[in-house]
Amino acid sequence: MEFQDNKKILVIDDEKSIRTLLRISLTHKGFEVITAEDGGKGVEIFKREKPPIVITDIKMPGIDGLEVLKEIKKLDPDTRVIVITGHGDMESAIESLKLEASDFINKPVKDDALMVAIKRAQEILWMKQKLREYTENLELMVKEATEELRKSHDFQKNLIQSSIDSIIASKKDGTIIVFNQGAENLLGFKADEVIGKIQMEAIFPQGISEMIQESFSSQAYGGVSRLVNYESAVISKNDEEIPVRTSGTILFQNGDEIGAVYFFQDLREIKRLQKELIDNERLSAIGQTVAGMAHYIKNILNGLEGGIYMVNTGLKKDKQATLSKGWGMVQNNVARISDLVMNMLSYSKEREPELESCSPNRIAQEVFDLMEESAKKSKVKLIKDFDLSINACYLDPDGLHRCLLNLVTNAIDACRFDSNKEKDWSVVIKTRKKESGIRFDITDNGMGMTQEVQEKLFERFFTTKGSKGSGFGLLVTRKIIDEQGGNITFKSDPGKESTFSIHLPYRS
Amino acid sequence: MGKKILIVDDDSEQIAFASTVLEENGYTSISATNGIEGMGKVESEKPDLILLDILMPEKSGITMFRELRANEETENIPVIIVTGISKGEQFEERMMRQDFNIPAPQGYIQKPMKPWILLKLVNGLLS
Repeated sequence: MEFQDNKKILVIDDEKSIRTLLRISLTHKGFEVITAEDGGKGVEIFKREKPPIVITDIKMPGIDGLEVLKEIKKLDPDTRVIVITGHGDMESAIESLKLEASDFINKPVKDDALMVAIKRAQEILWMKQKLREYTENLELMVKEATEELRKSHDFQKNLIQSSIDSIIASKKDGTIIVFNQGAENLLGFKADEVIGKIQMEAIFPQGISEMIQESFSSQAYGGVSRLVNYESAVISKNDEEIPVRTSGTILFQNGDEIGAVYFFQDLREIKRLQKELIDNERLSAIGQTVAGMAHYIKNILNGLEGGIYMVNTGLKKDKQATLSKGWGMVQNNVARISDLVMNMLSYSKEREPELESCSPNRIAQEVFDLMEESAKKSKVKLIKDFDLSINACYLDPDGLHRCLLNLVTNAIDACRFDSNKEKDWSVVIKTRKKESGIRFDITDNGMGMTQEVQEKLFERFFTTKGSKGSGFGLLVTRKIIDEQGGNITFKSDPGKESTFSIHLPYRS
Repeated sequence: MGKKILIVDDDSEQIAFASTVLEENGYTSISATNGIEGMGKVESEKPDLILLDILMPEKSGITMFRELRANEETENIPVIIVTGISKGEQFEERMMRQDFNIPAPQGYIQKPMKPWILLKLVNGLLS
């Protein structure tokens, strides 16, 4: 039995015979017995030996049993004290029970009555002990559980707090309940300015909150109730819109939505680097542009220097031929500069084409009139083949004029540079109304283009005209046509002919 | 009759410019617009000096220069190379300067051309 642990018994009795009797009897039953011959010694031994069970006689000279009982209960209230009373002495028995004696037995002490009392005392001791152990364990368990809980909470809290990313959680109604250090750094708010005071949607720019709610309910960004790497923005305390990569998830408890948690990654540095990269590319493109332009301008300058020199010489020496040739060169090169500037402007402008109602044939006619003379000088016949059924429609007249001019100039040059001098050169300007829109074809029977030339056609500063080409014309032409929603195509047969076609959508 | 100078250039304005400068200063000028035509003129006109553009269609200035140097009848005709700043021109010029197998040209002149520089070069070579 478990309660056999409490085997030490102190017997206090002034009668030697009873002491001896009890010692023999109890020792025989396996108890460890200590005896004392009076109350004073009994208390003294009790202090030293701390027996869990004490059997004491009531009537003793000096300190009597009740005094001993009081004293022992004071020293250790858990001690079981069995009191031996005289036969019929109910008064002492009741008194002792009042003083929390665990039992009383009458004299003469009967073995079985004694054993019942001792057993009961042992049971109570055992139960008390178990209760104490249980209570202690319970306390320990609660303490451990609390500690565990606190640790895990602290861990989560630390994890959330010290995360570099901003973590913000909100209740279902949008009230912010978690706002970590990262969020403070990102948004400039302190957590206590926000928690319980600001709605989640207040930190998003207009419309973003709705978009995020929408993406939570769609499959588009990482599945329903989730949002993965969604690029959006948040608004900081001082009203700055900060680009962020947002991830998030709806929080559920027992299947019910209770809130949401958001993770924000600051994209400002990434955006800054991206912009820097673009700026660098732009700078390098500007550098190349300037270098290409400088080359072309130097060539124009050479022509101007030559023209001026010849004009001076003609004036000084009164040579009309030199003067007029020089003047022609000056005019030519001024025209080239003006052409270059126009192309540069068209190329650099991020412009909306200015659409107005006009006749495509009239624009083609203007270009025809402008170029007929210079074509003739180069022994090229300029031919028009207009579709007269084309009505006025909406297009960008200045842009189209420039495009046709560039293409006709190229076509005439293709004839001028043709090494086959036997040919009768011609350039045809053709307009046609098509189902999809309007089409302009510029066809020449000049030198044609090799495969290599065709591949490089739309590269910046690529020119086959040596010092006479800026390498801008086709680039500008394509840009203008693109802006109007059209396209430009070409086909060429080297040594025979080339055709450039512009297709524009018809807007009546 | 002044000394005869052949101007080889695909740019008609450059020919007009250079020939005016030279003729106003007592030289006779003839011209060609590419390397093939240029070699023909060298043979038929026997020029005293050649003003040679680098980048030309048909036959480039550098090819023509090599041909001139490879023929003992023409190897001693002084040549002034006209250069520009385009990548192609710079490349050809560098190739020419590094080619130790043939004697270097007698001079270089850059576009935009200054008349007095041209005259100084030509006078120096033909006096």
